[in-house]
This record gives sequence, C-alpha cells and structure tokens, in this order.
Amino acid sequence: MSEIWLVLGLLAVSTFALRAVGPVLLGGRELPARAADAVELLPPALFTALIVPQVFGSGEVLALDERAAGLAAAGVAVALRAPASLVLPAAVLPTRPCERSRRRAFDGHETLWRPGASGILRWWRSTAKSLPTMRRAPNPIDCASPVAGWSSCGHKSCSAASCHPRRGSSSMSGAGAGFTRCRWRRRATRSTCSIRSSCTSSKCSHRRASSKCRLPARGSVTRPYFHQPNELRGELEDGGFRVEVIVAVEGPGSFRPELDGWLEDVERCDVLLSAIRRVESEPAVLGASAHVLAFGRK
Amino acid sequence: MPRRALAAQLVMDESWAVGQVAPGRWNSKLLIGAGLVIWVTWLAGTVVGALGAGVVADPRRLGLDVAFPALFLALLPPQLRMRRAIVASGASALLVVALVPAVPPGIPILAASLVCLAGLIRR
Repeated sequence: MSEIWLVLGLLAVSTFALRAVGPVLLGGRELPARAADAVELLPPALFTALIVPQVFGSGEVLALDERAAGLAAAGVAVALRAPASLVLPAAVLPTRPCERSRRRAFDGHETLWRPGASGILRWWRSTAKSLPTMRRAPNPIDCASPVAGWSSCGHKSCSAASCHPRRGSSSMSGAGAGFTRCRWRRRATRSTCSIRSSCTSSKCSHRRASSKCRLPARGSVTRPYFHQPNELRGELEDGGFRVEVIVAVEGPGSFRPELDGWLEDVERCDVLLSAIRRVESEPAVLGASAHVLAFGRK
Repeated sequence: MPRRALAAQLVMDESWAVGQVAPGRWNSKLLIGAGLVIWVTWLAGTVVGALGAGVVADPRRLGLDVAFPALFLALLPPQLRMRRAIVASGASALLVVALVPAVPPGIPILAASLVCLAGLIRR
C-alpha cells in the first residue's frame, strides 16, 4: 500500500511541476507570430483527434457502432446551437437503443462494420501490423505462414474450419459440416449456406433466427446439438458476468505444422503468439477451435 | 510566480477551449474559472465513481462512452472559425483513422496533434 502512495505522490509532484514549468519560466512573454500560428491550430487538431478514436476506434480496430449514432445526435445538437448541458444527454440517449438493436441484428458481434474486413483498409491494416513482425522474423515467408496456413485452409478448400453455419460454430459442428463440403460464403451467408455438387444431396438452410447449429441432415455424420461460442457469452451474461472477451484455445495457431519447434524457438514463438493474438477473438475463428475460453467480470 | 504555478494547474483541454476569446487570445479569468469548475466536478465525479462504480454494471451500456467525444464536439465549433483550422481538423481526423489500426492506442492522438505544426508554414 505504501508503495502505491509513494508512486501517487511522485506522479502528483511531477505532474504539478510539468504543468507549472512553462508558465513560470515563459509566462508573460508574447509568442513569436509563427509559433502562435501553430498553437492556434492545436485545439481543432487535438479535439478532432480526441473525438475520432473514442467514437470509431475499438482498441486497434476501426469500428462503426452505436457510438457513431450518439456522436451524430450530438452533432445535430451542436448545429442547433444547443448548450453543452443538452449536447451530452443528446449524445447519450440514442446509444442504448442503437446498441440493443445492433445486438439483436448482429447477435453479439462486437461491431456493426469493421473497415478492417474490407478492401484497402484491410490491406493497410495487415501491412502496417506485419511490419514489426517482418523485421523480427528469421524468414519473412515463414513469418506470414502461421496465419496464412490457417486462412488458405479456411477459404480455398473446404476444410473443418471453413464451414460456419453461423459465424462461429463449435469445432465439432465445423468438422461435421466439413464432411458434407458445405461452404460458407461470408457475405451472402448470414442466412444461407450452399452445398457443393460433389457432396451428398442434402441441403442446408440456416435461418438467422435459429440459435442452434443445424448440420445438413441426411447423409451427414451426425445430428446432435452443439454449443456455439456466442452462446457461451449469453450463458455468462445470464450468470451476471460482463463478458470482456471470448478467445480460441487451441485455435488457428495449433494448426501450424512443427508447432513444437515454433514454441521452443523464442523468436518464432513471439511471431506465432502475436499472430494468434490477432485472430484469437475473431468470431469466425472461434468455431474452428478445440476449446473456447470466455473472460468476464462480475 | 506561485500564482502562475497554481494557475497552470487549471489549464486543461476544456478550460483552454472555454477561455479562448479570439484565435490565440485567452481571457485568464475565464480560463481559471472554467478550470476551477472542472477541477471540482472532476474530483466529485471521481469520488462518486470510486464509491458507486459497483452499482453500474457496464458503463458502455449506458452510452456514457460517447459523453467525452460529445463534449469535445461541443467545444469544437468555436475553434473552426478559420479555414486553416477546418483543414487542420480534417487532416487530423484522416490521420487518426489511418493510424488507429496500425499503432497502439494513444499514439494516433499524439501524432494528430502534430498537424498543428502546419501552422508554421508561412501564409
């Protein structure tokens, strides 16, 4: 306890000193004209920079969710020249209903839309994020492969990981569905799932409303009910926990060939773990994992 | 001198914005007054939060995380009187959007505040 107070005291003193040093040493003097021109631009630049990540950022991902609706409402209030005491309630009011309808429509997915999943932004994100990894990795090709190995099996051939009746099913339903070569197309798919001609004639129709994982019935392996990762969230929330994250245990990283070698080598282990960290909480990946782990607080 | 050191403690984003009467001009009484109000309410809010945080399950669900951005949005229009300021604000927004996916949280804000250095360019 005393250490905490010591740190607090030191921080308080240093903050006080930092704040005071400028005005005490330089106070009362006029800023040079050019510096004043720069300082003038600081508030608009800084305020914008304070707004944008708090509304459109979610950790290191861009996200568009109910906070944007709140900001839009605040924008309308500001445009109508409402006082700040009205702007804040205006911003807070629409977020709760928007959040509810998002959860209803998207079924617990964290955000409504992630630019990270599309086009140029995805490219920028992957490039920007792999830079430090590329430098550290012993071999640049190897470095990409913990993830690439997973994604090629996920998208090209139809393996256990590629079929998600809903975005995220248990590994068993994934594996079971793999037998029927059921292919999950990400865009069209929140409601449909097509079956290739090479497999059994059964058709699989996954409706949005169903919360159970339905495997194609005839000709497939099994027809039991399997838990889905997003159901774990519901169960924890029912138990009064606030779920912070659901992660894959034995997820994509465990598909890596020569896994032991990767784990033993400190440098490669670092690369592998950083790759895993990027995908471990991705809803689409949870279903491809042997286990899922939910972390919540009460 | 001690007065200045104390007054400096009350200079923060919000009081700075409220105390600005013209571009590059601040009313010191307004600035210190706003700073005092913020200081008192901030402390009170911290006490309430420390004592009563357990009552609120998830602050995100109340939509309180838009309160701060909304506050800054309310403070922004008076700053955007000049074209240069609007350009700086837009550039800062673009920079932040580009940096958020790439670097740890916090860095984009620091980087975007450097946009003001464009003001050094002679008009």
